[in-house]
Amino acid sequence: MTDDKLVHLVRSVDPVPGDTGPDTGEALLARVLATPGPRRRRRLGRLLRPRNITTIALGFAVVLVPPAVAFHNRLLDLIQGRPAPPPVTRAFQAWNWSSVEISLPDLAGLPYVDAGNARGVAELHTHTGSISLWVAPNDRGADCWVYVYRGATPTAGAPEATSLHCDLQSEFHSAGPLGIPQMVLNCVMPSVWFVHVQVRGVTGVQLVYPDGHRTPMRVVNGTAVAAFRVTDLPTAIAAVDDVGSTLATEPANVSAPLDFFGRPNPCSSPNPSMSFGGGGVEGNIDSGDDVPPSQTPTDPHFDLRGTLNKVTPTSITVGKRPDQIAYIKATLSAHGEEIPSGLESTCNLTPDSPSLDGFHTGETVEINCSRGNLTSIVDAKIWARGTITALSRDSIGIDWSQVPTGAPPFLVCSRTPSSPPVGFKVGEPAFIECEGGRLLSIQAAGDQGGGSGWITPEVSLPSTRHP
Amino acid sequence: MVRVGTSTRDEDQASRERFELLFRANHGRVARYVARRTRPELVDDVVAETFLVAWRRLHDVPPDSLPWLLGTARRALATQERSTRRRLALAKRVAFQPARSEEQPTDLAGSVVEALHRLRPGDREAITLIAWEGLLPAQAARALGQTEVAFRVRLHRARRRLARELERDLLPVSQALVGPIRDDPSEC
Repeated sequence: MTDDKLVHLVRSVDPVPGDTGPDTGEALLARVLATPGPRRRRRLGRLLRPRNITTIALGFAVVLVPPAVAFHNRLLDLIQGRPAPPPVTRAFQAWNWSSVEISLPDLAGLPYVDAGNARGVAELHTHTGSISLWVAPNDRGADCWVYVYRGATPTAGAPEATSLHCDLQSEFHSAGPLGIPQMVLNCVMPSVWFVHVQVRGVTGVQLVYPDGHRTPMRVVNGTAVAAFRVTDLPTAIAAVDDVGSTLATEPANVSAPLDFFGRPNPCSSPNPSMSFGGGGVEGNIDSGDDVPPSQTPTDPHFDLRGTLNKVTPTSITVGKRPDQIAYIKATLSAHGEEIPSGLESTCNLTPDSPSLDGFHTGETVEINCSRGNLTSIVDAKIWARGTITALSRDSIGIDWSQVPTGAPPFLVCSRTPSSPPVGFKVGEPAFIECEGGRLLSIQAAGDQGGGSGWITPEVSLPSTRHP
Repeated sequence: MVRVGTSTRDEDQASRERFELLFRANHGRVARYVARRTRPELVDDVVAETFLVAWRRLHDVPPDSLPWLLGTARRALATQERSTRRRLALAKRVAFQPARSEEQPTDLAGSVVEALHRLRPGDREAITLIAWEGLLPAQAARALGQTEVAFRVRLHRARRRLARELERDLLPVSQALVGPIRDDPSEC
């Protein structure tokens, strides 16, 4: 009786309670049945007939690499050459829109992707959905890659672009056949990562795992691609000849990327931001500033963060900075691309609108507009971590993007009498918070790279500015 | 001489039908077993790996297949967690983390979860195979690769340890539910 009560008690805290009702694993069942079937039991005597000796030797060779080969053959389907559907094209366009903004104003710091020539590379199916990998050429003679997630259920909604990586150029260490491997985390299905590496002169490329086993990579248009589980990380990539002899190896250098807070999985960040590193550039298309510039709000209620560009007696205009708008328009026009609407939005002032006393054009604000009328306005807070690239008595600039050679700092905040002392020099890493465009705090930052984002208030916003 | 027997094609079809039956009967229970023991994003992979092994080794799967499948899932989980700990230093995340219920746990439930967490992994597995997976001791023994006698001894000791852990946190409730608990001199 005592034992029964104890079991009952443990049963009451079952984290996944449920009966043994109908299962919903039809997709998995179909995939499993599509793999080679059960191994037949064969008699040793029959196997040892001379004509089977060669088969046995080949069998041992295959047995050396069973799990990973099975994984790749089972899950990675090639969709090479399929033209990209509109959601994928839009994801690449979003990259262009954000990159022209980041590259402000006179430096093409980021590659420009030819979204119209995007093609499918590979597709990975799991029980919960599929991840497809698409590639498009960019203006640096290399490629950009985007992952698109599609849920398995009919109600899963539209495909969702997740992360995008652009190679800056054809990157080879030496005259060898392998370029620099690029690992791209997949934040929607984080247990699976993709790796791609540029290759030349070889068709056989393999992932090499710590225990020595190898799995083949797919070679597509001079680039080898593979997926692997995050729990089974390869240590190197090898180019092999027709008989499997290794021609060259390149360390995979796989490690868990760190997010802004130094945590091992950037997907855990509530607001994953653009990250720059290695030989390429990555961004999360669906996060914060990296989405396409918003359309002109048609909803009667909208919230907007941006620069206060214009104030008249009857309206205010908030959006991207004027120099950003000019650059975006010029760059996109030069590429023959459509200029997105919503680069800035106008909101009417009524007698019920909050006072604008103390707000000035050029400040970063957060507004709420209801039925076209301003209902609240506050100073917006933004953080950035990166290298101090500009420092004067009046302002501080943080180059969080690490775009090389003199790119203008992405975030510039003014220093006021109420701002804290800086205590840092140009070239040092720092983490800053700015409110309304004014420096609010600054502290030392490690060398974990750069980032930037908005600070969302946890309490309801006041409708007037701080004293 | 006319050869009598099933053709390869018939064997394949029979294998497929048997595996489909096995899969439909057990997929939910295997998925829940895995979901109780790992992070959500790893569940699909571990379940898929379990049934792939079952498909490849269908001839080794006994008629009472659930214990065999749970044993396979347990090994797949161990592999996943070992790799994760070693390579990503995510040991804390992959430790025993029961999924959160929609409801706020009561004090009693919270204490039971805490007490389970403090048990040795082997003890915890013995108790939860019975309480959560609904296995009989003989089945749980097969899932763990033990003899039934050895499993019953382990289960008995695990229950004692759990009760003692509960007593530490929740003495009045523990006594009301399981009665007074004495030290077992056979344990050390």
